Amino acid sequence: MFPRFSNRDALFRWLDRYTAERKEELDRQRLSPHLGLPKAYLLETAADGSEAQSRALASLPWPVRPTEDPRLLYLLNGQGPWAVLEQLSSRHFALYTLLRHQDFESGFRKVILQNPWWDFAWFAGIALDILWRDYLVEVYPHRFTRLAFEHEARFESLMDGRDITERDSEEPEETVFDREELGADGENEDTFPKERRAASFNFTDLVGRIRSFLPQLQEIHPPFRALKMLRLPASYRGGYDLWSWGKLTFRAPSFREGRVYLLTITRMYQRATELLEQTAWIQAESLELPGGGVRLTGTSITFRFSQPLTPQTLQRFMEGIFGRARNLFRLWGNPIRRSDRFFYVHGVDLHLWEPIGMEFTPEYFRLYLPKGTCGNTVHRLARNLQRYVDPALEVRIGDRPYEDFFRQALWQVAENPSENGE
Amino acid sequence: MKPLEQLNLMLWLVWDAQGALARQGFTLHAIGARIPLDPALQRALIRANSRWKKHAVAPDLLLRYRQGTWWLLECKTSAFGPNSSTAAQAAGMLVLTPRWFAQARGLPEKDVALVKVCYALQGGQEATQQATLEDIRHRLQPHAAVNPAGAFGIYPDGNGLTLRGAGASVCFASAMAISLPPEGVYPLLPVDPSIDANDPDAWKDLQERLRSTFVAWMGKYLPRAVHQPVELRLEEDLLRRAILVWDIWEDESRKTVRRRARAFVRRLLQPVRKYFQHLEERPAGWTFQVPDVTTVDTILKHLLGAESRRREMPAQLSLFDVAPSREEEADEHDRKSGDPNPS
Repeated sequence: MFPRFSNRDALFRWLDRYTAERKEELDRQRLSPHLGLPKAYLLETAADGSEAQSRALASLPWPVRPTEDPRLLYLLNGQGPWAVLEQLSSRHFALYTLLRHQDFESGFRKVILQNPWWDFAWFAGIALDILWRDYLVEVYPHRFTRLAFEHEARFESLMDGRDITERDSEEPEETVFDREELGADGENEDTFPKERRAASFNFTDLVGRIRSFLPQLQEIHPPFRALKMLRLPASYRGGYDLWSWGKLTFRAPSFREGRVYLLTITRMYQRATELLEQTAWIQAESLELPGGGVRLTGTSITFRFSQPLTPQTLQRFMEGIFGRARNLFRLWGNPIRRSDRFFYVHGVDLHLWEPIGMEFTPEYFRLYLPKGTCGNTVHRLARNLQRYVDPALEVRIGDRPYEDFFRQALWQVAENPSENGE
Repeated sequence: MKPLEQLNLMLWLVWDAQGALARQGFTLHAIGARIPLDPALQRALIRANSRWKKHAVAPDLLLRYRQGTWWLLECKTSAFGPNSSTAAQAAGMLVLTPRWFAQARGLPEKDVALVKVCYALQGGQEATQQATLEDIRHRLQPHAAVNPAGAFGIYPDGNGLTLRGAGASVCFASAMAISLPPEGVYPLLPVDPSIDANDPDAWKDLQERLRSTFVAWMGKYLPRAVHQPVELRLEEDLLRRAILVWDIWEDESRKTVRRRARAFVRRLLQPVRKYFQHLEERPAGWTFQVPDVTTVDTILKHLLGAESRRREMPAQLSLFDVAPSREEEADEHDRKSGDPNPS
């Protein structure tokens, strides 16, 4: 639990000490049994100042108590403040907690994923790859890092006409996320794993060495493109594990250094989202000309599969989304079948309740975002499609690669930090 | 290619990001705009051909090119001859020279330097159409100034299609190759009763757009309805969001779409009606409130549930199989005849 503090500096000093103590325990491999590592979860909601943001805060199941600092809030449970919520940008919050992940994370995920006003910040392998290549490889070639990859062919039907992979129709969606950080080591002895293609790897090595062999691995085995965790080195020892669902685990001595990473990641994420929205938002812009008229702007977002899906896989994929109100993609809609290989869906993104247009074929999934729809939808879909459908997915906004938006955002943030200052 | 698909293809071509016409500087001014003809023009038409009685014309699209050139664009699956009933519409558009066009649309005359009449057809039909247009122009010229006119054919090819003008076409100086998604373009206009009032796929498309827009609206705004009334407006909240080009769609068949959309929304509300307080239908839409947050959750669960879709959409009955009223039939007749004084 968090003690009460009168100001942000006091809170952060305390967190620095706590973080340093946990790092020492990690180094001795004797983590206190009831104390968790500091963690931050990057969350997205409606824009600042809007009625929707007030409603978002009110929708949380924990009482929210303001602090002296207007951008810091306590979240309470029966025992006191279990988390601190910090507003990092106009629509992003960091939730800091010291609880052990096994004590609260499963329930916390459910709360966020079932709450229409909140979503996690999603980092597809494509996006994490930008941090890997453009930052880690360039700046820290001689430091150790840890990378984790995971892919599960959740909807795949391997043999044409023969459904040899097990379906998940009865499995609660929440348990999918329970496996987030377990991988092979965390398999539950009491369950029988589903028989389908799945891959989970991680390795720790020098950045420069990983750089030399990773492209070859990615070439021969696509799940190595589905990066799910990337350790960002701390300035001295240790690092900060950034997960594909916006979680940052502090495995280094300094809380504030991890927070600096979090601020940079948030700014990059927000900027990439804004750039994507500006490009993709579909609208009929009124023209300032006599007699009026409109300019139709915006473009589609295409998620192209490296291999066409079989008809059975496409069917299962669509059933997995539209056959259940709660699904991995947080989408809802009624597919319209135009042919055996082409479906339209005029649907709803259940995060912030936005209508969206979708097209499904064996070769691609295409998205149309009306103006005002949150671009976070694209990040969530990219991450989940890479994770559960095709690790070698290619994503384009119009004719522009998705990764370009993150690359552009990362360097804009780096070159203009003062524009994004607190 | 069906007429509605052709129309959506043209709309796609003026869509900024990928549209070949947008890149050339075309913008979209109106869809199905009804342009009244000055009495002087009406007389010129009758003098050219006694069967060419038109009070107004309604080209499928009005496009503007840069600042001063306007296209009156019609989409046809096949060419027509000079003696067909469709020729009257063509004649009406041909006499809408810049001054008359500006007057009819309420534009400053300096903003209308040139008006072109263009026909988009299935590939192979454009030469015949061009000949028809020239024939009509020839008949009109003793009685009125006429616009240039041209026809172009739409030819599917390996990667998309090619637009090819007829020999003397004023629309495209040279063939234009356009790459297209293989499954077709995203339909900006899902339905157009003036083209085909009974296209089941088109009505199904509109229905699903309305459903998703309705569910999204409910999710976002229903919480506001706790203890105080909110208003769901058919046009502003639903139709405008479901059909991106709604505001510039001037065709009177919007009335039909509005009527059927209202009927559909009534059916969407029906299964959850019991949860609302003071639910009232008004000309602009519906007002209602709910007693508490728990009721909000109940309504939303119901709207998202598969059962609700099955219940309100019986297998054999389309919600849009609603016979038009006599008033609507009369409206439809008037629209087709271009009568400015409907019965």
